[in-house]
Amino acid sequence: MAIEIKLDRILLERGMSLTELSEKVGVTIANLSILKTGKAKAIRFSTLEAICDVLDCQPGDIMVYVDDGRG
Amino acid sequence: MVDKTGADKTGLDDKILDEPPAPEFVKPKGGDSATSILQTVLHIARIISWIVVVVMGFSIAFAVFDGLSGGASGDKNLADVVNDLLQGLASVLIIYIAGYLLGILKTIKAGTPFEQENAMRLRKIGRIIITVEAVKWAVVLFGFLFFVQIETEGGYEVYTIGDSAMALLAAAIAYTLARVFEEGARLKQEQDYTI
Repeated sequence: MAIEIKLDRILLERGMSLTELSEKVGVTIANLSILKTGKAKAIRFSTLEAICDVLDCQPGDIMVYVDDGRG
Repeated sequence: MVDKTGADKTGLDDKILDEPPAPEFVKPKGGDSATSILQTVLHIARIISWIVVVVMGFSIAFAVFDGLSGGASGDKNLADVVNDLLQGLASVLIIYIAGYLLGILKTIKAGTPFEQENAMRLRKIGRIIITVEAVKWAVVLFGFLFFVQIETEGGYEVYTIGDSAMALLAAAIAYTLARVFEEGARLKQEQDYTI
């Protein structure tokens, strides 16, 4: 996968659980799990904005591009 | 909270799932009264078709038995036998198609019509229509070539090219709808996995 989600790491750094994040962001825990496990096909700017706001981070802290040699 | 191992509470928390759906989800509309009426009509059509199949089966069996045993109505009933066969075939067509349509309506009622399964059901409907149409013409031609004079018996004048054109059009519609449902299922999946 070219885009890697680093939500686990940042949650650990902030000492926050996925449940807590889900409550604060207003996205269901099922959806956040999809994002966390890298199964998501897209992320809305509004969701990204809310996550960054709650976790006080930049989009680049949540996701990184990894060259997997496919392109 | 996150524990020392870094694992968090990612299980499906009842408290969270009991809350109203997130705003990004579109609530499925589900079926309305028209769906229920259509379901009832299709159920009735299936029952009638089963009755027709059984009656035609008995009729054909009786005619064949009568013919084989040298009964009085032997040759006279050949056109009727072929006609019975065609009517039975049409009823089988209705049974299968109604079954698939009922499956689609069930998913509409559940609020999840855009499934790959529905695309497959529509494709099967198209395939059945084409197959039955081919078999119908094979039966008609077989009857025409070997047994029955259309002019004298008058058994097949109702089966025209126009009927076949309508059937092929119905098959084309089914295949087109199958493609639409396939695309719908793909878009639905895309939407479901958009956070």
